[in-house]
Amino acid sequence: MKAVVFHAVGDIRVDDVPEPQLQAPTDSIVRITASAICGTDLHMVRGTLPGMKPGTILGHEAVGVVEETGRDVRNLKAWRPCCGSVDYCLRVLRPLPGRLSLSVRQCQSQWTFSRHLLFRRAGANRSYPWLAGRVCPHPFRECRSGEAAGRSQR
Amino acid sequence: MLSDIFPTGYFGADIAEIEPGDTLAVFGCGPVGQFTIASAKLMDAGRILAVDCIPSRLDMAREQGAEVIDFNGEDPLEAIKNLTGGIGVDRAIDAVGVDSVSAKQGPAAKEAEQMAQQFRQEVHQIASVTNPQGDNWHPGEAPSQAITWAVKALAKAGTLSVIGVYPETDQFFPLGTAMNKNLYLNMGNCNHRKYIPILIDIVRRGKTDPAKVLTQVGPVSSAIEAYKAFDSRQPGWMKVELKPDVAMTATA
Repeated sequence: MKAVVFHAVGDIRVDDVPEPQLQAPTDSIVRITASAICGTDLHMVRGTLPGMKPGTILGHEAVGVVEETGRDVRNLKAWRPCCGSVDYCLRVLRPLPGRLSLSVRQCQSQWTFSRHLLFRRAGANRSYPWLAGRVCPHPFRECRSGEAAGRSQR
Repeated sequence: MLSDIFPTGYFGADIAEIEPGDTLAVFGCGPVGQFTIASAKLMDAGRILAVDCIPSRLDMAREQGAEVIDFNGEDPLEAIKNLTGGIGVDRAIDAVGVDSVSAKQGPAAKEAEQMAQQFRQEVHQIASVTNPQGDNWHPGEAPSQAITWAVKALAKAGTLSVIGVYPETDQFFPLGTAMNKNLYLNMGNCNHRKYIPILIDIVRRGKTDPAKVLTQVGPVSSAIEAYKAFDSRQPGWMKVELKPDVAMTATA
């Protein structure tokens, strides 16, 4: 399948990449019906968000249909639509109205975590499946198809 | 849009502590800035001043009801001061981040020239590896410009909200100005889990239409060209949707 792959600062390409496989119990595989280009990706390509690892698949905005879930994924079911964005810091950030309440546990490493692990495994700008490991998929309970989910996203 | 940039814009407006009737300034009218404006309207902001230098982005902000300021045409701080009766804004939101640019022409360009060496040092310290090619992949040449303008645009005891992305290597914040203004600072990466359900409901009820920000749709095979057009801020390139089996087309 095709994906937008980071090779180096100033060097991104559309490459053929392997189909994703479940690697952790919290992973899901999502068939992407639409994704998007984000300005955050540009920081990475320009070099102003340093530390990207070659091979990382870009993209973190997607909507699609769940194809397969790991055993620790309890809120999604195969063939149901969802939309997801990479959950940068895994339940660590809990912004309250007007203020941020931070758990210290993983915040210092959130970007490293997201870039090296999440983006590598969960890049959204692929032609078809997305290994949605540790993203925050939000189920569209009312929708019956990925196309409907796509319209909801737009 | 609902997966990341609308939640991020909404988060920026939320942590800006907007009260109904507040006057705010949004720095950056890219996709996240547009959703920040839309979110501030949902929170009943009184006036929204929107700052950028790309005419098509300012046009979209104006269509949303913002009072636009082109920093290549006028000094944004002077404009904000004049538009707020000399007071400054209650809330300022930085939706630009590290790839900020400074004024290339107009009255703000002179100060930018004086700051050029400092800006260069900032870029050098923040981004040790760069690889610009032609018009693409250039780091913003003034990393601290947007955040400095945002701090200076605020009224005393105002709130600064930062949702523009800054890497850990960025250490440049106008601390003294912020401290002496008694500012409140809120910033960070959006917790999407909190906002996506709220926003899905808002969209479903027709209170705002996120698709208005979408400007192009095309296939993954055209993604690199789309990234390049978006990177060089080509007119009319606001938000690109990637979809299988669709030729690259403008949607607006």
